[in-house]
Amino acid sequence: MADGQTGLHPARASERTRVAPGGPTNAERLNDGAEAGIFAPPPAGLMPRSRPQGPALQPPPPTPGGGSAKLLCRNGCGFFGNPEWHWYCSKCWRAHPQRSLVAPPTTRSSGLTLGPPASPRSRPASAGTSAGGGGSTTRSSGDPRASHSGPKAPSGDLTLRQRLKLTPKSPRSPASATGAPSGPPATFDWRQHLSNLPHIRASTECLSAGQVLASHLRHWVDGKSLAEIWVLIHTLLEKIDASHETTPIDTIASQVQEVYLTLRAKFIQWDVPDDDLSVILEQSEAYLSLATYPLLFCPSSTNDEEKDLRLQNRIRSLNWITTQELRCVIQESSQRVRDLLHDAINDIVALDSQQTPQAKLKSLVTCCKKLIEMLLISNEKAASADEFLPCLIYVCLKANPPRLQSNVNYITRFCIEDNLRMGDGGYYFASLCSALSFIENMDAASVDMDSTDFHNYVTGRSLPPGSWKCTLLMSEGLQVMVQNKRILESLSERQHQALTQTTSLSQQMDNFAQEIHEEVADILRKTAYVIKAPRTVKRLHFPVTSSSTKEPPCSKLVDLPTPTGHQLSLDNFEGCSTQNAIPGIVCQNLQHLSLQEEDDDLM
Amino acid sequence: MATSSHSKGNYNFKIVLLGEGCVGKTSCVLRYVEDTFNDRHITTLQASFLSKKLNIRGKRVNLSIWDTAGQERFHALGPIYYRDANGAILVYDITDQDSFQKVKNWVKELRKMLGSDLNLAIAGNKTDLEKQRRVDVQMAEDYAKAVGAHHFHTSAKQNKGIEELFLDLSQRMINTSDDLARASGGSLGLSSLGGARGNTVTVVDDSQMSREKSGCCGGGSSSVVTGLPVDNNLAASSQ
Repeated sequence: MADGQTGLHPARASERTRVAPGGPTNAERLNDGAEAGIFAPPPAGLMPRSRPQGPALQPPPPTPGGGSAKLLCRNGCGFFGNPEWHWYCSKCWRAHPQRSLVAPPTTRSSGLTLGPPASPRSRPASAGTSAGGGGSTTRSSGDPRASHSGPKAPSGDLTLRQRLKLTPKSPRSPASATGAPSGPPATFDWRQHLSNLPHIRASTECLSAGQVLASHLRHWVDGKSLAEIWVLIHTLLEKIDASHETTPIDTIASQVQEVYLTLRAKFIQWDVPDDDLSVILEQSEAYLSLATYPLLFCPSSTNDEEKDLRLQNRIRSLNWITTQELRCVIQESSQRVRDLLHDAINDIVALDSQQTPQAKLKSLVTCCKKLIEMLLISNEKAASADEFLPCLIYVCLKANPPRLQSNVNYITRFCIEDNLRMGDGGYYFASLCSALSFIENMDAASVDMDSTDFHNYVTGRSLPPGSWKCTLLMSEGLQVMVQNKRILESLSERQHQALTQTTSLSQQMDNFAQEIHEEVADILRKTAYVIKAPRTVKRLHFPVTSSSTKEPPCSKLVDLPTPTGHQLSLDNFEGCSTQNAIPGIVCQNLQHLSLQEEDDDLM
Repeated sequence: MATSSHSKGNYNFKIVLLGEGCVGKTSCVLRYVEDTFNDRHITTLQASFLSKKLNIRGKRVNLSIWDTAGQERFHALGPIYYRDANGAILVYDITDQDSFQKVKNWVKELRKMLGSDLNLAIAGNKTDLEKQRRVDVQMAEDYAKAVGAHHFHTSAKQNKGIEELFLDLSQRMINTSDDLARASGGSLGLSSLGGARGNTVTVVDDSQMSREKSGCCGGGSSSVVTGLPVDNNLAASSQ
């Protein structure tokens, strides 16, 4: 078996070694992989064969040059490196395998001749492919191609160049692979294919995501192109399924990113509008990530888990940090702010439970939106980055989200790159990375503190004076008590106010009544009308009595009916004495009358 | 470096705002996006991330404007924000000499990290406080010219110079993006990735950039002189 297959492979191996210094071996390798992947069963079992060589593919240890400026990327690009990426920055590290993989071809070719035991494992995968439909036809077209490019070294070189020419922008793009075979399948049963993959266990979410993607794709793409898309995605799935344990995670990541780019290019070619384009891309991302999440999240080939633990411990050692040290201006005493803070903490913790990069970003965005609302309440103006970043750092410290570093790495690796560059998700993700970087590198200077104090606090030897306050602030019961006390105080205050107001009101009412009473009395005093009827009558009588001497007037008056009536009514008026004007007139009239009568009598 | 994904005449640009704290970065961008200065005006929930859609000569341009924290202790986090940016706006306070020094530091760092693909705009903010000016106009403009940036005099309070700044920057980013696309074979989206990762492309861009500089702007920095041809186009397009 080994002989039969390696017949064409020494040539390929030599081709590889020859091209190696040039650099694009990886491209070629991928093209090979793509060609071999789904349409034809891997002719040489490339990926399974490389499995035993897995460790050899691991990137080399850091060069001594990187030792001096340890934080910086050792590629000298000026960005920060990361121990997990062997002191490369993420960009250089992604580009890195292209260079580092130049070295191992000799070991790989030797691996080929050795005939590793892993080759039978390629069988189920290839069986799955042919079950996918049209696999058998493409297999025949795939093999001659390989053998054609294989035996003659110069021609192989030429085809390689041609291939590079064909895909000038993204030399590693598998698009050429899907385009190259003479007859792409007309239909592709993705469910069937998915269930045939040995490692990928399709969850219900994954299947429904696939369903959604399928229905959306059908809306934009016709049958043949539809199959093309599915083949593209499933080639990748198959590749991940077969080699996720041996391939460095960053190689897988760049393969995934390339598929996204290829998809994007295809959709642009098919005139899918921008909005739908991003929706379809996100759906493909969801499908891919849901299918591969258990394999690719925090994979055992990386030290993500270790990093998580380290970060978790670091955050724990910084739990004494309060908003004051971070100069984060939020009113923690306000109930609303604390509710938002708790919600935000929940959201950032929930990030871990989401299984696609988009969903993870969404959790982060919700969390950050709450922080912004919180800042808005506290500062009453739109939050700028100056206020927002300390707040996010504070939330990270308080929440200590599980597996945060793994999540960040997962998003960095498998999120559609464009979504990390544009949009609020990208911005908040950058902020989260900043926050983590700040937490990792936090020292006395960054929180304006004495370095020995800082050291003591971090190591737990002593507690900062304000630490209990922070703990109290987080204690729910105490907060409620404080809140209730405040409410009671304000209530009693208000009650007191109400009481004083009531007394003053009743005072006023008393005063008013008094005033009215006095006024009335005053007016009455001024205008009281006392009719001294008898006296006027007397006064009137005097001249009469003096002038008339013959008869006593009284006897005559008694005889007359009207004067008596007047007399009586006058008596009445005197009795009531409240009215002044009318009785006056009446009296005058009466007087007049009586005078007239007297005059009549006299005549 | 600048990966501006653009398809069918649409551009997505990322702009990063840098500068010391309290120089008015946030006010500038709020003024541009929301046309508000007043602090009491709470229509915007946040000012840390803002986006704006423009139409320049029939091309749709989406700007994502990323604010950064200005305090010294966050300085080291800059790279996380400005990575992959197409443009940077460096804001200083004309009444504060130190803030201008900070701009110089940023320029140095940006040029070192992102090369010359990055379009720079330097904004001398708070021109409403002209009487308290501490930073020499001529010196600032000369410096901007020397580093290939355009200099603008802005006042977020009086809404001066800000619209011009963003329009000019957008225009230059479109030019750079077109040049990049041309240099890398003129095909769609995929080009950006190759450009970002290969060193060769950066070299090509260097010459592109210098050619562009000599060609398009006689006075690389002085906002008054350069503006004319560009502004005419922009005015025509915005109508």
